[in-house]
Amino acid sequence: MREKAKMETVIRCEGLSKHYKDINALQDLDLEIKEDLIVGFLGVNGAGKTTTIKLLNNLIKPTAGKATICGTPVFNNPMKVKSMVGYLSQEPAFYKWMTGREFLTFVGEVFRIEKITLKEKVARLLEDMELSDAADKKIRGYSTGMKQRLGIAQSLINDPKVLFLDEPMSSLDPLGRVSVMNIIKGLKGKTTVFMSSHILTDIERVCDEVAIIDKGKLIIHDTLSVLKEKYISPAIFVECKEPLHSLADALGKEDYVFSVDKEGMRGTKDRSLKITFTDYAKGETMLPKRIVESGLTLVKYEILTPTLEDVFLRLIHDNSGKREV
Amino acid sequence: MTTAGSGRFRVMFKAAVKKEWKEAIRRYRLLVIIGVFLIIGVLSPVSAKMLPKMMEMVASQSKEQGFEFSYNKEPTVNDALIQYNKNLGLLPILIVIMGMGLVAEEKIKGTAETILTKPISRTSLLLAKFTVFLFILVMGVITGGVVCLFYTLILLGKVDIVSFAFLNVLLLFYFIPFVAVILFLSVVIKSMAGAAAAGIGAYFSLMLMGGMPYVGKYSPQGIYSVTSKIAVGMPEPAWIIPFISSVCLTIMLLVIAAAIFEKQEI
Repeated sequence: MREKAKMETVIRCEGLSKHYKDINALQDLDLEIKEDLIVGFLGVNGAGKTTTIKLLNNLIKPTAGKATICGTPVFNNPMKVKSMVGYLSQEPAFYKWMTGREFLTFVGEVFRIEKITLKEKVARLLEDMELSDAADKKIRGYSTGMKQRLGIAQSLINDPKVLFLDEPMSSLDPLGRVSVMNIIKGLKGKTTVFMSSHILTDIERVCDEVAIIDKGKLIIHDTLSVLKEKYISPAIFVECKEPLHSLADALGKEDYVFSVDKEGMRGTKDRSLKITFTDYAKGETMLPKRIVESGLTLVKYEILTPTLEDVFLRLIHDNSGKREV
Repeated sequence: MTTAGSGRFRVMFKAAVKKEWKEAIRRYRLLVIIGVFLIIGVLSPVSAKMLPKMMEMVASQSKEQGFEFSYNKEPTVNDALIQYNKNLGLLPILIVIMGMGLVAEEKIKGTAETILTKPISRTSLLLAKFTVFLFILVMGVITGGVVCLFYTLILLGKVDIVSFAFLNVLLLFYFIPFVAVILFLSVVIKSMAGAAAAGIGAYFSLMLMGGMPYVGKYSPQGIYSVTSKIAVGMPEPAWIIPFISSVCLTIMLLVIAAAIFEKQEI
């Protein structure tokens, strides 16, 4: 892969904002996405993810700011932009009276794809999405997973330079999620994927970069490894024979502790804790001491690799000025 | 529009028309509308022919109950045409019902979101919907007209084909503004039922407008008064002004609907 600096910027937003009466759905979004990356766009519900994607797809108009896709202004030249992008909405809707093949053909015709090429392309996409057997069945008979795969197929019909996926896995069962995730993984290096989600494990598995948005504002945008390194230290998992309420309360008051997760982990109910630190070095030294001082019988002591979920929670909490104990 | 621009518009429009046509067939819009025209085309001359016999039966039953009346009028071609015109006068209600979801349904169900992110203009989408609906109405008028003509000739005698054809053309121009009305309402109003209710409201408003002194003859509803006069055999009624106002209303509603749709957030 080329170095990031040398890669071309495919999505650029400058001061992009969208206000609805009293709600700031999106505030001054500055964002640059380089080509051929899979970028996860994270945020809690109502953070502004869908608003951003809808703005970049010309479904809604911005209150302020500008955006370009592959150098073309999104709001001044919508037709050119539309011809370069693919879009899959959160709950993709189709003409249910059409068959999957007919729907893809209709979309291809809109893109002015030549008849013979289109026929081949539709057949290939149906095969890639494992929909060949259902290609000539009415869409009304498709399962949620099949509809999602058909949605991805229609978004790829024009070989888009940028693919926008709005929560592509939110309505799927585990098998469906794996299937869609593999499809997205397969797009790596072929197109730029800008994918919103709140399923952090999925994002972690497929994305090169992550942008986190909260309350309409972009908090951070970087590679996953940098985010983990920069924003979170490893966590420590502790399991004892005794209940750990008092240890949890004591640790919560320590200045080197960031959070103490008291939720029963791995089926251990109240006998385990997951601790994250503001000062990991100090925490690593102090924690065993605290356990010994409390007279607890240690069953398990494990250093956990930070996950995107840890980064996400940390950044969201920092942004809200809260600290969860 | 540049040559490339008009070429692109043509491609988008063609794809949208193809989709609308398929939808009209698969969702029985075509069948229902043609079916209604067909039924009206058959029933109008048949009921005109049967009316005296039916009245005779009613009269004999009334006589048994001590109430006497007689109906001696022989059925004529004009009776069939009056019936035909009267029945088709209610067709705008069917247009409203069949067209209420044209745009509203696409917005509610989310297909608009899927399609409008593709390089297709909203105006071409709207025009395609209008064109296909118009085509269905043309087919309906031809079907209803031919069938009515056939049965009238068989049952009641010779028909002035030119004036009957003219009556049908004018009826078509009576229906067209209602397609534009429901398309406009379907763009503006977010629910299908709301669009239908407003469409029926528009139908009655136009009907009332047609009956108003001075204004009536300039309203699109004036066309219906003209077709009523043709049906009773009046020669050369003044059709031009209501015809023009029907065309103008249609164009105006389509232009406004397209302008609103282009700016709407999906």
